[in-house]
Order: sequence, then C-alpha cells, then structure tokens
Amino acid sequence: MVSVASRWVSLSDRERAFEGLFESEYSRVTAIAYRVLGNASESEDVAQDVFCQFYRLHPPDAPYARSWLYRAATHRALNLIRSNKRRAGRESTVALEHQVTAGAGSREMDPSLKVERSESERELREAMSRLSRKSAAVLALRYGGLSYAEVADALGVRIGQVGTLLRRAEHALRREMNHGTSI
Amino acid sequence: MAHLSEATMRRSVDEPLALGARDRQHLGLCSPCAARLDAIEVDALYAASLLSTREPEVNSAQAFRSIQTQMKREPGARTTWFARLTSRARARSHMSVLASGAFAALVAALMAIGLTPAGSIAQSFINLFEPQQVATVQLSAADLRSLSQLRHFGKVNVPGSLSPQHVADARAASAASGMHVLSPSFRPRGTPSAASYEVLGGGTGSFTFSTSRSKAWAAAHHTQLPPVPAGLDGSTLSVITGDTVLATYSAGSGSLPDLVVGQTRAPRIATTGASVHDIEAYVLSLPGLSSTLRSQIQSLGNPISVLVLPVPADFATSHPVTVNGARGYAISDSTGLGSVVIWEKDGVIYGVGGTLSESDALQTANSLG
Repeated sequence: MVSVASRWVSLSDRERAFEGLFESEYSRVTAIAYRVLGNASESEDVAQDVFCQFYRLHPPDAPYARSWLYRAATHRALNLIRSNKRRAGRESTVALEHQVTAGAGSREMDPSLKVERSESERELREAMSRLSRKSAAVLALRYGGLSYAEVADALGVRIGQVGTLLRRAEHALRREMNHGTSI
Repeated sequence: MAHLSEATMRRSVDEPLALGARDRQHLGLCSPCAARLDAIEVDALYAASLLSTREPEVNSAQAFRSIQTQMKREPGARTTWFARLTSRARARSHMSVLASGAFAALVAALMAIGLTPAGSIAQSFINLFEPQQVATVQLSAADLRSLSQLRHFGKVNVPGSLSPQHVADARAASAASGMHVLSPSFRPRGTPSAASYEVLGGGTGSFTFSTSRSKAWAAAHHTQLPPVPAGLDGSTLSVITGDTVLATYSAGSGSLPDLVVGQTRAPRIATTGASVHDIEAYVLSLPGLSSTLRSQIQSLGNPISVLVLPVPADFATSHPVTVNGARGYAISDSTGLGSVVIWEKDGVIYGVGGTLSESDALQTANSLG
C-alpha cells in the first residue's frame, strides 16, 4: 500500500515537473529549431520530439534539462535540414509562409519579390547546412534567444568561448551566403 | 596594452555596456582593433538580418495534443494529466503574455523619453530631436521590428555605462543634477511618503550612416536601396542627454514600483555632415519601415521640435492630456497594470508612472511643485 502511494506521488511529481518544463521551454526550443529550419511546422515537430524523448529518458527536474533540450533541438533540426528527403516539401512550405508573412506586413507583395525572398530563404538554409555543426549550432542557439551563458551550457563550452564561436560562425555564414564556399 | 580579443569584441556588439573603460579607451586609440570590431559588427549585423526573424507562432494546445498522442504509444505512459496541463498552460501563458507585454510597454515608453539614457538602438534613432513638445506614434509589433532594422544602415554608439548615484532627498538630487527637482504633494492612497532618489548621469549616443552597411543589408535581402544623397555617408547624428533624476516610491518588495517620478533635461542634438532633415528623409525612404510608421513620423512635421514617444499599439494606448498647463500624453497599458503621464515644460521632460490608474498618475503629475 505504501509503495503504491509512493509511486503515485512520484508519478505526480514527475508530471508536474515536466509540465513546468514544457510550459517554460517549449516556445524557446521551437524558436531554436526555427533558426535552422525556417519552417514553423517542422520546428514544432522537432520540439515535440525532443520533449517526448526527454520525458522518456530523463527526470524532468534534472539540472541539465534545459541545456539538454536546447542541444537536442539544435542537432535534430540540423539532421533534418541535411536530409534531402524533405527538402522539396520544406521549400514549398517556406515559400508559402513567406507569402503569408510578407502579405501581413506589406499588404500586397510583388510576386517577383515573393520568389526572391523564397530563394533567399532557401539559400540561407543551404548555407546553414554547409556550416560546421558547431557553427550552425551556435547561430541557432544565440539567435534563438539564448544568453551567452545558456549557449555555453548547451554547447558544453566555457562562456568565454562563445564570443569566438559566434564570431567565426557569423563570418562563415556570410562567406557561405556570398560565395557559396565553406571555410 | 594588448589588443582586444575576438571574443570580447564580439560580445561588445551584443552588450556594448559590458566593454570596460580600459577596453573602450583602447578601442578609441587602436586603429587595428577598431577595424576588426567594424568587421565583426558587419558580420554580426548580416547574420542578424538573416536569423533575427519573426518568431513562429506556437500553438501550445496543439503541441500538447501532439505530445499526448506520441506518449500514448509509449508503454507505461500516463496521459490523464494532459487535459489539465493543456487548459492550465493556455490560461497561464495568455495572462502572463498580457501582463508582461503591458509592463514592457510602460517601460518602453519611459525609456523612450530618455529617463534611462542608455536605451535601445531604436531609441537612439527615434529620439534624435530637441523637443519643444511631445507626440506619440502607435507602433505595432511589426513596426518595432522594422525600427530595429535601422541599425543595419549605420553604426550606433550608445552611451557608456551608467552608475546611478543614490542621494538622500530631492534637495540633494537638485544639487547633483543642476535641475530644480519637483516633488508631488499628492500621492495615490497606499503609496509610501518616502522616496529613494537616484541621479543618473547624461551621455551621448550617436548614429553614423554607412553606405557600405546599407548596401550589405540590401544585397543580403536582394533589394534595392534608394540612391544615397551626396554627403550622407558618414554623417553622424549625436544625441546628448542630460542628467536624470528618478524618485521611486515603493512599499513592497515587488518588482514593480508603486510610483516613479522622473525628470530630465530635453536631449540636444548635434550633427556632422547631412542635416537632420536630410537624414530623416532618407531613412524614412528605406525599405523595411512600415508605411504606417513612415506616415506617422512624416505627419509630425519639424523633426527637431518634436519628441516622439513610441507606444506599442498592442499593449498600450495614449491620448493627449494637459499637465500644469503643458501639453503631454497619458499612456496606459491595456490590462490596467499601470499608467504613465509624460510632458515637457521649460526644457525639462517630466514623467510620472507606476502601478497606478491614469487619474492617479495625472493627479500626481499636477501636484508636482
């Protein structure tokens, strides 16, 4: 009887802890994946997969929970973007999302501009996929809204290294976008 | 002295105030470091222009349902808590977004008039005017985002780190700031009678238009810029803010004060190169600014006589009021969390705000003397 009660309490606590973790981190985990994928639907898929995996494997009140989620979302998104199988579908969805976004901000958008933006978005995703995994990750994490300390935790590096990694990643991204060559 | 590290310089782009006085001094004297920093900033701005995108609109309820479906497939998983989780999370997130957004609107309004001179880049740009009157523009979230794009067209320098000086009372604040510091004879019920006074030193912020940065941004976005007028490249607008005095009345230990009374000298402007009018005209013609914001700013008329107060349209409302015979604005957040009244008189900008109603804020403002 005692063991059953303990188990119930334990389960309830675990659910409660997971609930809090989900509430506080879901949008941020999605935002990180979005920096890599540029697609809201796929980013949410990644975030949900990551949360499910975490729930299965780890205690939700683990001190490393947030950094684990951020890192896992980044790597899962990078794996996804490097998969050619989904690329065609992603491009069409990205183009559609851009049309919706642009339409909201500028009323009626020139069709040629829509095509250009879609193309620009595709170039960005391809450039991200060509960066080193660490460079792409630091960009996704930092521009996904993490502080330097949080980026350091997620990447497992010292905080003093984040500026250097970020600087090199941004330089590499610019070169990739401008020249299409990796550094 | 050793040159600045790459990591230090990159971090200073995100957190300019984190750069220590010695590093700042080195940067001013060392051409190679200044050039490296400029290259780092250009790359950072380029990356930001690509990656600082609109956040995806997350549907938490749908997310929970998806997870529920996935978890049901897992042996031993318990799903009874998901319905509870869904409804609670939806209610909580809605309320917290409203509350935090509303307070952010108030903070933004206060920052916009220079009560905290080390403001945002948008502030540095929009408060370039020596005001003889104040006016508000309603900014949507999209407008605010478009304002932040302006930093891609030039170099922004924010004032150095500010260390508030705590002083004993209004008299000491007057002596420290050189302003006659006013105190309210009326305070809303429950507000403590004693205030803590702080004096913040003024500073100089500047914006230098850069043709090369603008072209880099345009190339990244596959767009065309309007022709750059002769003499605009390198033109600098500097905003000099004076000392600011803040009197904070706070009864509890909460993060929101009951009442804040602030005053600061109206900022002054200095230009090199093109005139304020020329820079304003060109910046307003740049792509990225919403047409609504553009037309609002243009309708304000003479840019050197009007202080623009950006009011986030989604979270706050504003309307003209009269305070001690001067024209001002009352800004209230949309959830009733708090209000701010702002006005300008005799070259000093005053603000009264806090977790109080608009009528209380106005009555407090009218009682300053």
